[in-house]
Amino acid sequence: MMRFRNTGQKAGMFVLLLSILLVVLPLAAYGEGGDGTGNSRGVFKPLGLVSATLTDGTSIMDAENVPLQPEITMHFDKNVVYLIYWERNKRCFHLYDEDGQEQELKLSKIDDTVDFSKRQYIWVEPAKVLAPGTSYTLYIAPGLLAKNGGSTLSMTTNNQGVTIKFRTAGEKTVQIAPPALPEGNTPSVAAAGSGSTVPGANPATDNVSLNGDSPAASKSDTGTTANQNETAPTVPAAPGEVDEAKFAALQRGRMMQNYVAISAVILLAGWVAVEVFRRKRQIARGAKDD
Amino acid sequence: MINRRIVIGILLLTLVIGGAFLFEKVTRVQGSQNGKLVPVVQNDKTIAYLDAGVIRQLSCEERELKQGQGGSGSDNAVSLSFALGSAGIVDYEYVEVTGLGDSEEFKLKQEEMEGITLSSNSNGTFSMVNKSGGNRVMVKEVTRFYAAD
Repeated sequence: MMRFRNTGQKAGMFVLLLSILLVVLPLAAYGEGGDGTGNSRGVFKPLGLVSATLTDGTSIMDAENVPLQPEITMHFDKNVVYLIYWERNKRCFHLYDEDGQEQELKLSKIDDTVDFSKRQYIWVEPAKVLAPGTSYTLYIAPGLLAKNGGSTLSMTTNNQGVTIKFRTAGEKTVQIAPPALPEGNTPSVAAAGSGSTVPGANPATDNVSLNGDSPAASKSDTGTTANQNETAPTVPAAPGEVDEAKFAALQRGRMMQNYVAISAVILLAGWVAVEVFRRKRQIARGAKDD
Repeated sequence: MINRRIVIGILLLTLVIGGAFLFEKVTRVQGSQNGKLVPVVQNDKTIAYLDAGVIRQLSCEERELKQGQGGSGSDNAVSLSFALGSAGIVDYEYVEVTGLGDSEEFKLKQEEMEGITLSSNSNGTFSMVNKSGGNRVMVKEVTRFYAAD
């Protein structure tokens, strides 16, 4: 009877520990690399940009010689492709040329209901071919929202959003207006290059080319982000800039979660070790008695 | 004794994990058949799944976004274009909407989607309704969206 009760207690203990482990470990893992689910106090882990790379894996941040139709892979640290917030998140992406003109973007995702491993990636592509030798600014508004509905990009960018600057490959293309025919047969001294489409650009005589490689009009699609209300920030903030106090508090919460998980593992390992030791001692005692 | 317990534990865990995967697969297949889990397909690849709950949430989201822009959305229904955009569909010529059983199949171009909404039903399915055509139900229980390039 005693033996049965002992076994029952042990089994109960084992089930209890296993339950703790099964509950706590996935929580810690989910919180660490996952979606930043908020806790009971409504505190959400901040959403941050991990990397922005081209198809060859090089970073696009301050990059030179970027292809004219780059496909940029934006990697965030939480689920940003959630179907419910996708239309909202699409509006957070903007591409501006050096004149501040907004360019259309094509955004794509792989839905988390189809491939969960791609939930932190958004692929950004300009809808039209970019101009060569031109600086562009890719701006992601601070309102970008994670699946948990609470983590936003503003939390890691001091409410500034992310600004990524890059320059396309090649020489700047300028358009030369055809020389105006002077009235009254006066000699034409119309300045070539005065009709440059790139204000502020010096009309370089050697490298001037006519606008022969103008971008072809692309099909409109639902993934473009034109007609946005948000404006680019005047003071760009590098990704990773944080509100220190808020972030420290969130980090403490994350560490606490990890401590609980580690404690549970140690507890379980200790219990297994004690069981093994006890079993060995019992066997040794039995052998001695025999 | 302990070795046996460990083996049993590992077996149990394997069974639980395997069973979960199997359950998910079976649920998806069944859901697709009875219109409770609707695949959105583009280029012969499923790009997302929609269900009545998602449609309800999308209707709230669309309403919120439209209110932000000074407009107003309808109750408990989301526009087809918003739902497809949320699913991640880009660059398509027309969308083929299939219904349960022998219901009619619709091919809709982007410009024909004005006024067409998706509305959740009480049995966990959702329907396609033409709001501008006097709330005419086009497909009672949608089972599949196919976006063709």
